[in-house]
Parts: sequence; C-alpha cells; structure tokens
Amino acid sequence: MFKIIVLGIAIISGASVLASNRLAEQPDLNSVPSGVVLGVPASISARNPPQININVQGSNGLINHAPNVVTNIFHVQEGTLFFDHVQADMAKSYVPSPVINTSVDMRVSGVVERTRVTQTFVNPSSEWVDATYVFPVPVGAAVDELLMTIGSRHIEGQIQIKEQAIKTFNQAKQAGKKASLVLQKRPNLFTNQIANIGPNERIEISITYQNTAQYADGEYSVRFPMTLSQRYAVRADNVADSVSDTEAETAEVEAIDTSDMKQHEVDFVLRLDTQSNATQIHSTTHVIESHAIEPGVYEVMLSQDTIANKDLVIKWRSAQDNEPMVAHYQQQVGDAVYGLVHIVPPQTIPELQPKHTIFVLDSSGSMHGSALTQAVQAIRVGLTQLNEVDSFNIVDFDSDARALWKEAKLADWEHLQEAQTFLANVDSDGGTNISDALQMSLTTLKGPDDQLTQVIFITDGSIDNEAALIEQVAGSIGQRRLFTVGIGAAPNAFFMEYAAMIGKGTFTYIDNVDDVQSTMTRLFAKLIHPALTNLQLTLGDESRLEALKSIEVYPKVLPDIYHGEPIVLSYRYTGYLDTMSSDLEELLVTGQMRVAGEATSIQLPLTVNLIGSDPNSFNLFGSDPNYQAKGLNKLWARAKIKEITTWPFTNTEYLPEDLVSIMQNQITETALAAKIVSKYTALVAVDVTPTKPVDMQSNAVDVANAKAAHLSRQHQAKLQQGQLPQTATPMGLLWILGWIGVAGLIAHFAANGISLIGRK
Amino acid sequence: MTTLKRHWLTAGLLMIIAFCWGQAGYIVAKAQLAQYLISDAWQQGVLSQTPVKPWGWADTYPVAKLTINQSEPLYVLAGASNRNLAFGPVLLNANLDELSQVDNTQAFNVSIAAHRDTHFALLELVEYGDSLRLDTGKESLSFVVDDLLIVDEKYLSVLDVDDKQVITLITCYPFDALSSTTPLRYVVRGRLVEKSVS
Repeated sequence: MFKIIVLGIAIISGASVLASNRLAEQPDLNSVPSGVVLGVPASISARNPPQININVQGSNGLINHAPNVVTNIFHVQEGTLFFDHVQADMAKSYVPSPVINTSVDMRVSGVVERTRVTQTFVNPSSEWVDATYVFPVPVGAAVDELLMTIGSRHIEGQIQIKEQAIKTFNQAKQAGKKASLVLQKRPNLFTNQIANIGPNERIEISITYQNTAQYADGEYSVRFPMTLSQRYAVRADNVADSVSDTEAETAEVEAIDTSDMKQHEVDFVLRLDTQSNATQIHSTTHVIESHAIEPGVYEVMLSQDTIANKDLVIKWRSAQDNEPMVAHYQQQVGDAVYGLVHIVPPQTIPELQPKHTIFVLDSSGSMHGSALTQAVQAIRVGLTQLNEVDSFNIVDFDSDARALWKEAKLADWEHLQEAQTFLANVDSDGGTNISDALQMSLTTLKGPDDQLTQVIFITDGSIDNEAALIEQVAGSIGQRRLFTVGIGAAPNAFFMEYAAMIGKGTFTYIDNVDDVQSTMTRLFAKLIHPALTNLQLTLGDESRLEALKSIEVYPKVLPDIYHGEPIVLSYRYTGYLDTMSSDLEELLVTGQMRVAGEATSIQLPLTVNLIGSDPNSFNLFGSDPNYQAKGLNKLWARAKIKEITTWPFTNTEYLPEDLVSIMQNQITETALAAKIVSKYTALVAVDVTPTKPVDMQSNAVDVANAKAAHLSRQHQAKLQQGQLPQTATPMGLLWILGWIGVAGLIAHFAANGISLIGRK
Repeated sequence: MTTLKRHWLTAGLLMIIAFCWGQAGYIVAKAQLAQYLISDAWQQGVLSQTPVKPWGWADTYPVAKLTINQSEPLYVLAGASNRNLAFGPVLLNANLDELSQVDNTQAFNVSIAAHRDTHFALLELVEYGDSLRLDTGKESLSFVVDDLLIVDEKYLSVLDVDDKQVITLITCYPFDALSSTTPLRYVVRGRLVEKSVS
C-alpha cells in the first residue's frame, strides 16, 4: 500500500515537474519520464537544478505518517512541487543505501532488556564513501557498546567526552582510517557515522543498548524501532552548508550504480527468559514464531523476512496473582552494587474508598477563549465522575485565588448545582498567580483529612517563576497529591510534568475540546484506584550496614502506584554483594494500601535476582564472552541522568548561572562511569591501519532515517503535545458578511427607493 | 411593506454591516496598534536588558524582532496563547536566551506563530531564498528560506530540533479561507546563514 502511495506521489510530482514552466527551461529534464524518478533517483537528481528535491521514499515521515498529515508539501507558487522536508543543503541527490542487512539480537530476562543491532554496510560504488546512519532507539534505552568489524578484525568503541570523540573520529577520517562515531542527538535518536568505506567494501557495525521492558494492562512488551533507512542522499564533496557552494557541487554528483540495489532486510531473534512455563507471546505488529528452548526460556523470531518499515512490538503475559508483584535485580560492578526494583500492582481492582478532590482552574488572561472553555468542561466532566460519598471543592484563580467553599462539601446534587453555577460565572482575565492557588489547594482549604486528597490543577502553565513554584509544591504537598492537566495549544509541559512528579501525581494533556470527556474519564478511572501510596525504599538496620547509607535511588521522589501502572526504581550503593548471606533483606520497600478504609502499611517482598555473579540465576547472555552480562549500572546511570535534566526546575542548591555547567559535569561523569552514550559523551571506534589513500576524496552519504522524525515525536510529544496553534481570525468571514449586508441594503433601496425619512 | 418595516430593515442591515466591519476593523486595529506599543516596550527592554510589558496589564512581553525581507519589523511575544496572538507573533518553544550560548554546531529551532490574516499574511508571498532576520536584543540572526510546507495541525515535527540551526514560521492555511478553524498550517523554514552581535 505504502509503495502505491509513493508511486502515485512520485508520478504526480514527476508530471507536475514536467508541467512547470520554470523547469521547462531545463531542456534535458523534459525528456525524463516520470516513472524513472522512482527507479533511478540519483541520475535524475544529478540533472535537476539544485532547488528541486524529490524525496521519493519516506519524505521524512510525511507520507508514512498518514493519520496526521493530510497533505504533502505543495506550494503552488511557481508550479513546482516540493517533497523533501529536511534539505538544508540543496545539493543532495539520492542513491540507494549502502546498508544491506540488519540483524537484531534481543535478550530479555525478567524486565531487563539488552539488544544488539548489527548492520552490514556495503558500498556498492567505486568511490570511497563516508556514511551517516540515523537510528532510533526506544526512549530510555542506554547505548553503551559499539563494535566495528572489518573482515576478521574487531575494533571496540571507546566511550569518550563528546568533543574528544569527535576529534578522534575526525583525525582518523583525515588519516584515511576506518572509523565509527556514535552520538546521541536526542534521548531516543542516535547517529552513527562511518568514515572511509572503500569501493565494494563491507563493514559490520554492532551497537548495543540496555533497556527495560514496558508493562501495561497485565502484559509486558518490548519495542524495536524498525523504521530504518529508507531515504538516502549522496553529495559529491565535503559537507558544506552554504548555498553558494551548491551549484558547483551539483555538477559533480556522480550517479552510483543501482543495479546492486537491495531491499533492506531485518533478521530478528529474541531470547526471552520469563521463568514461567505459562508465558503467552504475541506481536501486534508482525507475524512471529516462538518456541520454548528450555523451561521458562523462549526464542522468538519473525515468521518471514521483514522489510524494515514498521516498529516491531512483542508482548507477553505470564500468570499473575492478586499480590503486588515485585521483581528485584542486583548486580556487582566494581565496588558498588546496583539494583533495579520493578513493582506491578495487583490485577484485582481494589474496593472504592471515599476521596477528596480539589479542582483548581486557571482563569487568567492567557486562558482566554477556547482554553478556558476546555478547562471548565474538564471540571464539569470531573464532577460527573464523583460519587455521593466523595467530597470536593473548586478553586478559581487569576491575579488572586477564590475557593467555592471554605471547606470541602459532599458531592450531592445540591452542591454539584452550586459548583455548576460557580463555573458558569468564571471569566478569564488578569494575571496568573499560581502560588496563591497552590497554597490554598495544598494547605489552607479544609477537607476530610483521613481521605486521600487529590488536587486536579488545570492550567496552561504560562508562568515565569517555575523553580519557586516547584519548591512550593515540594514544601507543601504533605499527604495530598497533585495532578496537573495541561490545556491550550502550547502548554508549559515542563513545569506541569515536574510539578506533578514532585506532587506524586501525573501530568495529563488535553489535546482539544473533543477529547476533554475521554481524557478526564480516563484520568479519573485511574485516580479512583490508587493501589499503593507513600512508597519508600528504606534500609533496615543502618548500624549493621554502613555501606547502605550511600544508597542513591532514582527517581528521587517515589510515585504512588495506581492500578495497572507499574513503576521502576534504580539504586546504587557502595559495597559488595554477599550472595551467601542475606544482606539484602536490609533493603525494604514499604507502601500503604487501603484495606477496608484503613491505611495499612505493607512491606513488599524483595526476592533478589542477581545479575552476573551467579551463572545459574540470571546471566543475561550465557557463555558468550562478548555479551557478558552488564546493565543495571547503565540503567541506573540513565535514571540518574534523567533526574539531572530536571534540575532547572527543581534546583535549590546551586546558583542558576552555575547550573548548566554543573549539570553538564554531572551528566558527563555519570555517563563516563557507566560507559553510556549521552548528550555529552560518545562512542568512537578507530581502525589502526589506514586503508584509504589520503589524497582521495570520500563521498559523504547521509543515510538518514525515513521515520526518524516521526519516531522522535514520541519523545517530543511529551514536551510539546497538542497541535500547532490556531492562527486564523474570523476577519475574512466578517468582511464578507459585511459586504453581504451592503448588498442587502442596496437591494433593499433598489426595491423601495432611497428614503430614510420614509413616506407618509 | 410598511414604512416602519422598511426602516427596521434598513437599520438592521446597517447594524450588521457596522458590526461585521467593526469587528474586522477591531482585529486589524488591535493587531496594528499593539505592535506600536510593543515596539516601544522592545526598545526599553533592549536598553534595560529586562523584559518590559507593553502595557500595564499585559500578560506578555516582546522577546525578539522579526524582519521578513524588507517589510516592517514584527515584534515577537512570549507566551503562545490566543490572546497574545491577537497582538503579535508568538514564540512557541525555543528559549532565546540559550541561543546566545549555542556554538556554531549546536542545533536549534526557533518556532514562531502568528495570524494568517494580520501579522503573517505576508508569508504567502515568501519565496525560497528570501531572507528572515531575528533580532533577540543580544544578537542578530539571519536566515535564508529553504523550505515551504503545508502540514496538518497535528504535525508537531516542524517544531523538532534536528541537526540544523533553523527558524520556523507557522500560520494557518489556506490564507484566503473564510473559516477561522482550519486543520492546515503553512510553514516557512529558514536556515541560519549569519549570526552577529547586535
């Protein structure tokens, strides 16, 4: 189907290109039939004027991304069609990929996932080539290993500070050595640059990352982003970005032989250790085959060779009882112990308890218009979700805050009516004084204190003193819980997400008015069933285990666990694992569950799985020496880096002007210690022997990823959910209506004569 | 038709005309006049190096000056709300303070949205190779237009920072549509060509 769409678009584009007057001046272009645009893109592009980029496949996700993109990029200014989205340099033309094969070896034990992606790059041309390959990884994965194989030689990548790694890479590239450099572009998007691939040469690059399996609705899942490499570009000379260079370059573009062109194939093997004989495995995206290779261990493969165009998702389910399920893994790395705790709440729905809800409504000037309508509607939906035994209150704030009542009232008919009247009279104006509203809802407003108090805070978050407000939330949250709901075209999601994190709640974004009902219903369905609150990871006997005092747990503020939503904690302490004794019992996870209306403290059993120290219990990669178990320290480092990135919003310790460099140092240090790629660190591998004659020029090949932009949206969406702002006024309509009025008046006068005084 | 009825009809039609054109005029006047006040606030802000509100009760302040080709400069406001859009283009996602810190390799994407009928009506005429200049008070950034696209309103990727230094101007599309709610957005993308201290 996809192919057909692409073909259709290519034909349309080809036809339009031919039809355009501007291009008709290019004589040789007229002789190119549109079909060839698909088959031999390189040769076409070589003859095109530099301004025309016809991105045949992929179109940077615009075509693939059908549900959200209704139209392609056309602007009929001069009868030209434009398809390419990313085209800062205008001299790109397209050649088939030098990647021909990808093999994926994924191993999952419990919830710990380790994936190795091996790609073979073949240069089909007779030129020396540099390639850049953009590859997506699941959000939260830690890339920590790079292995370059040339013939029988293996070169392992070193983790280095980014600037240094880039320098190392560039030096090797200049010297004609084969080199590979892995950089993090975004938390879930990495690039791999390979320098000096010789004519018809083959290089194998393996990249390994560490991740955790996701859990939702009773099922675990892993995702492998398979949207690899569908769009390619080559350029004749060095990467230069200025426009003036482009025309000269274009002339030198040489068509690369495409007869060798192959589809990009993916081999995939998953080794899944669930320690349960009754595991059901399925995929929602691909046809898979699975079989048990030993009790509790399964091998999963794709049923047919797969062309990489869709993410692969594999899900599995094991039997589960009604107790909270806790998985705990530990691993010794150097002089420190790393651990991972994964808590899944019981599947049975707990009995309903009366609860106390405070709605907070932002009615400041910035909420003017549809944002306020949405916010009020959200509260109205929220009110319908309350039971008669629940109590509630509403706070409305702009320059100052006003509460509906001094004390929370039961959600009976009379009080709901009062609330509706209150909402009907809300008007948007004035400033955004969030501080007063937080003060009121988190501390001063009275309510039934023995019940769980949930504050639903609805705002667009357009404020400028984020850090102070976060501090206020941290200081006054007490036993209450803060849930932020974002409204409007571009809400300040950063603030709202961190406020909710500190307030042990969640952040919800409401996209548009139509979604208010479903989103609020979903939020309330969750809020009704808190499974475990006041979660703590504590130490038993501190005097006996001095080392445990050095424990660092991420995330720092442990969230509540809601029905159906698991959490993952990573910790580290200085010390040694003693597998003989049971030191680990010193580590306790406690939480509160409500049983028959009473808050009951419970202690979760921490059954320990060791990683790496005992070959029989939990060795991720068996006897393969290249695959030695490693991972919990990487996951911990990843969690710590994530925490560090929240510092701009939570920082109270450092001077703001120092913060950026302190964060950079901390991230660099953490990443280097765990040997993972981060914003400030990179992996680089350099072959010792130069293979390319230094005086020869390499061609640069951008092996960009067709859907990289689409995938990265998943990450970005967290930061910038919603839609692009509505930027039209009704002016045109008003103007026309005015003219219709004039026409009516003229018609009226024509029929009755121009007499304003009238006749007797 | 009685005389009375005729008078009512005349008066009614006149009122409709007055209302419609009045509203349209109000939108234009608000958009134009606000820019004058904002330009004063901008001058003060540049001098004092602090955000200056254009009027006392304003919920926003100018963060940059945007010049499209040779046209009158537009003052870009902080805070992407509908209210602010009536007064000027608004900054969507980038923190302009960070711009002065980025080196020549670090990617950024300054996204600005404005109404298609007022401030960004001129985007319709923008062509490839046109120049866009953004003055942040500290620096002057020159961009050259290298991409024009029409996307769905959900297509947030235009706000992504990939590996380039770009500016992204967004307005509603089509330009001459009557409806004020359209699912399409017109996007002008410019690539940084020059950066200088202003």
